[in-house]
Amino acid sequence: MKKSIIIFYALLLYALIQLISWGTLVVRLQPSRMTMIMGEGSVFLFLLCIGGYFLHQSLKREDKLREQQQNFLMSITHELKSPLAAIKLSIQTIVKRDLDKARQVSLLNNSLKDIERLDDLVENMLLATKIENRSYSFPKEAFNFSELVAKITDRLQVHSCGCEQIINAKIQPNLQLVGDKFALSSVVTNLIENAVKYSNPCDEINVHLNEVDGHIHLSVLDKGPGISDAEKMLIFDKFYRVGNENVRKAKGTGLGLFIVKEVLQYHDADITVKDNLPQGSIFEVTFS
Amino acid sequence: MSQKLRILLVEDEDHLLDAIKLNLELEGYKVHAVKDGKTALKVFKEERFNLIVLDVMLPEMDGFQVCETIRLENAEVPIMFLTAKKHFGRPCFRFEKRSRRLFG
Repeated sequence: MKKSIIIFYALLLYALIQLISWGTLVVRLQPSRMTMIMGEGSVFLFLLCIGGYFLHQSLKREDKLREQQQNFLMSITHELKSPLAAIKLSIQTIVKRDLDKARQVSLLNNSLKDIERLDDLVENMLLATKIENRSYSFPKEAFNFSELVAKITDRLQVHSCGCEQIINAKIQPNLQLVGDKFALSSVVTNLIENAVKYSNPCDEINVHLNEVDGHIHLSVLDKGPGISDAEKMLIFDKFYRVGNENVRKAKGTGLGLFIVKEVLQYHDADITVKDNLPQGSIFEVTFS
Repeated sequence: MSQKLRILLVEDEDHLLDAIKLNLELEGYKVHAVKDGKTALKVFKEERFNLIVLDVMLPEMDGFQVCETIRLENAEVPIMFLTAKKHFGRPCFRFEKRSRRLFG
């Protein structure tokens, strides 16, 4: 990558020098055609600059994408291998050792939770790929959105109880929505899961669902570290993750918010990220 | 052996931590398990260990940094790395280079 960038700039410089030297040569030979040569030279220079700018942009984009892919590969290794290693070790322990019943059950329960985690991960990856390929059809139906949010909040409450996070839900009942239930449940799950992941133990997370002027609003408020202004735009990119991969505090693949953005776009809904006071972030979804 | 050998285990995955700890304890070692690098360093300062088992991907401070900090104080205690990555090339090289430097 570095090499190609250097060659690209060397070529650009070479073309520029050639242009100037040929231009001066021709001007010296035929001083009368000075205006024509200057005119053509500047058109050429203009086109060269535009071409150079666009190539530079696409090279930069390529570089960013490559870095994100690398990040994805790293996090996916961690995300896939850790639960697999835990399941393998747990089952090997049960097979090899003479354990009492309670210990066996606890190891098996851990393994089941790891399998669920893997299942969620694979589901997310498949959904993201399908959305990218435009092969996901988003079957639309009318359903009770309040019920869906309440159900997901309850489920995640149980999961996060080990870390003592509290999810406070204020849900206005019986809000109807027309859309893809499966994809939207993935949106809600991803948003609340993110809030849980990036919060400290014992922090509370607020989930609000209400209707204002005929628009359904869903907001998820956390008291985590928050997101810097520079990164607020980037977090919805595919594979983008905040911070460095090797010292990652929270687990994940960088697919969650990409799915959220794509699904909401399809449902003509807006999502905004704001700072929560005194700290944390607010993700606000507005359905039109 | 009258006294149990002591192991410091650093791993951020709860389930993996439980399973490794259980196995090591069943082998007759005394295991102190912690979940991040900072706590590991704190515990290392307070207690003596015969072996340190380190995960590479840790929250806030990676395994290499923990290893380096420990090596600055103590060049003897054996450190074992746990990693999910098969292709360990570059970080391993970096680690070796650093540890060689630390050993002098």
